[in-house]
Amino acid sequence: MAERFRRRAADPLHWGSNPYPSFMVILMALAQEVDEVINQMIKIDQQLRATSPLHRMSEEQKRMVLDAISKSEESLKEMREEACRA
Amino acid sequence: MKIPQDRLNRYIGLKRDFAEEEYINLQPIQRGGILTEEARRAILEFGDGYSTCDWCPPKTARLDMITDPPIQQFYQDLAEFLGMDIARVVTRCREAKFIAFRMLGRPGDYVVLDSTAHYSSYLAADLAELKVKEVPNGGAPEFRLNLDAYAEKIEEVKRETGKLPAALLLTHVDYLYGNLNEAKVVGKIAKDYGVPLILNCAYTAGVMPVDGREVGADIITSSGHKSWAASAPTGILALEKSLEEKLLARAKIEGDLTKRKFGQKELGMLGCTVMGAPLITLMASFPEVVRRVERWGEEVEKVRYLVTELEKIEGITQRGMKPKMHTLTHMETDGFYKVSETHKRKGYFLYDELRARKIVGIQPGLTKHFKFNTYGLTWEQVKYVKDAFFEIAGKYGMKIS
Repeated sequence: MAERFRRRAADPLHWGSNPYPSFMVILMALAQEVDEVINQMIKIDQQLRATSPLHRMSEEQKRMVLDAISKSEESLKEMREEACRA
Repeated sequence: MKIPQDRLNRYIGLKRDFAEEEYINLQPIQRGGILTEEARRAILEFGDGYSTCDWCPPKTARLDMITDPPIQQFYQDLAEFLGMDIARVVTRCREAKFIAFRMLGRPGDYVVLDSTAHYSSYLAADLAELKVKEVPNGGAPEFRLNLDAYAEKIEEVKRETGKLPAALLLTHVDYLYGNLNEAKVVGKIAKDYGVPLILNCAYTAGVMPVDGREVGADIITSSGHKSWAASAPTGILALEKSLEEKLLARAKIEGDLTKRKFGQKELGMLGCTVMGAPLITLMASFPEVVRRVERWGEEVEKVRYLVTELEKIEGITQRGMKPKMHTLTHMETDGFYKVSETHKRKGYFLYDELRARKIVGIQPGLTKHFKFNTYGLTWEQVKYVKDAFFEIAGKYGMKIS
């Protein structure tokens, strides 16, 4: 997402203009958080794949899963706030 | 024509029966194609149609010229990784073989290939209107190829046609027994006769180290969805610089009315090949693929462990060369076959028993012999598979030594 902003900013067609009204910025932040949650879910899913079918996880694997859940919770909270503001 | 809604509903919420999260999948062709974490992320970003082509350069509109995402760089890295000079991503390994055959040979020419080659090698030759001369294998139990016979077969072609074959093809690891062939032997014969060697690395490149230059291969073909942690369809065609003109010849056709020409397009590729999700997963998995081939030794250790353990069960023996040098394995399982003769589910009993233990990938109905692949399984999963087989054998009164 940040990379897209940079590309947009470097595009001469958009110099001197603000292509994004504030509501769009909010929605883009929302999309960024969606990406973050999906990434964290994939991390958890990878651990499930690596431990199937019994799913006996090592301490490190458990920590990774819990960490991914915490990050997802933060993102979901952000998303709720952004969605309310939009 | 209108399709009824209830039929369209069948395409909603598609789910796979054997999710990797729930089962251990031993399917011989699937283990090396399981996506990496990075590839699963990338597929969401670039899953839409032509999304990899956002920045296709208008003056040289070709897949291998795209620098964002870094497709051009990837092609270079891919070639370097395989010890070759140039690489292209095509739809499948068989496509890569067809392109090589088609661009190297003329109708009626011969290809000398190994007798354990995949059927698609034969079909690729057929479509390119080439004939085949097979290099024999020693039959059961090892099915070892007589690699020196490549020279004899070249001589045979020379006697028959007065010219050399268009190419030699060696299957690096065959799909039936997982035998790893010493490519260097055939590489030397190819160099001695001046015939290009196509090394089919569908089961090797991407999971184990392969260096085309070192073994004397002129062309390497491989399969992204089989061995490079990529979505299907993805094939790889890598070649030596000396073959660039032949294999990557540009299109010469011209419209009789419009005089349109397509001189930028590579004829054998039919222009652009694989874009979108398959290509992007191949690229996203590449860093992990580069790392994982270094761990090949441990993969071989795991399969050897499992084979040694399974052979302790009465009536079970490994087919193909020993010791195992590759994770694709063929087992002859007379012990399970005897059980199936009196079981009410006949040959399906083994599949049922394995599935009940969350193991899939052994072909349903097979008990006389079956294939599996342990690539990428953890030690814990390999031991789980061993325990499951022991449990099933014990349940049906088979002796375990």
